[in-house]
Amino acid sequence: MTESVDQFHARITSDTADVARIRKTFEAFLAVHGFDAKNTGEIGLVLNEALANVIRHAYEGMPDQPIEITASADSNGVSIEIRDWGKGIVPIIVDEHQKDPHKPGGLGLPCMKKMMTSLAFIAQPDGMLLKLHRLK
Amino acid sequence: MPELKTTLDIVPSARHEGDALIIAIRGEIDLHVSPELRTEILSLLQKTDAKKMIFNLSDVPYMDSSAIAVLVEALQRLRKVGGKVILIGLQPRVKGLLEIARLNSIFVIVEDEAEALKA
Repeated sequence: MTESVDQFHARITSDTADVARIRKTFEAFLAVHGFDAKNTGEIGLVLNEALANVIRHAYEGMPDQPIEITASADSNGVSIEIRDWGKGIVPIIVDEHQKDPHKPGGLGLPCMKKMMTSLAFIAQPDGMLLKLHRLK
Repeated sequence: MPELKTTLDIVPSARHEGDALIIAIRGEIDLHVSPELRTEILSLLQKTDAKKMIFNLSDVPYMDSSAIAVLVEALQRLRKVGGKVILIGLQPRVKGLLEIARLNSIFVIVEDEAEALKA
């Protein structure tokens, strides 16, 4: 017996104006694959935060650089890969309990870590591959 | 209730009431607009000696961490003068993000403006 697996693929540029559009498209993909509103919202936010990190840190705000997003969803969950060709520096994820809540910034990665089942930054010779997985 | 001039669509109104500065925010706030939002809010803050900032978020269905960072920065500035930031009208996704980021305890979160003015 084979299980149905569906794929999502998008290649965008590092323009902040594209983030909301791709997030909404991805949330629609998740909804079609049986994710409820809460899970869809959380995973959509993770994608938003991951893209924001690429734009801000890997590409230092340059708006015309490539980002590739691939994902596959099945009855167990969703796996997402985000590839960039930026600086390729693996970020240090500060545990949310160590972060001073009164200092702005630095929220994205701890939130991503909290909302996903697994998260791994894999440095590439020419950039970074971020692998994310979330069980249903 | 003196109105303050705002310059962004995402900040449709701002006004004083007592020691409070009441700011309405509108729309989805992510990295694309949060830098402008930051500039607007800090500019409004500079024009006032308010001890309390009340953000009406009832027309904000979505925020990311860059938007939350703007609110935290406003709080950071107000705390220096013994002030506070109050959030009203939180929609489920915004409320969820604040909970996930464990920031729901640093802001005062109430239902509506009347309650915020008393807080």
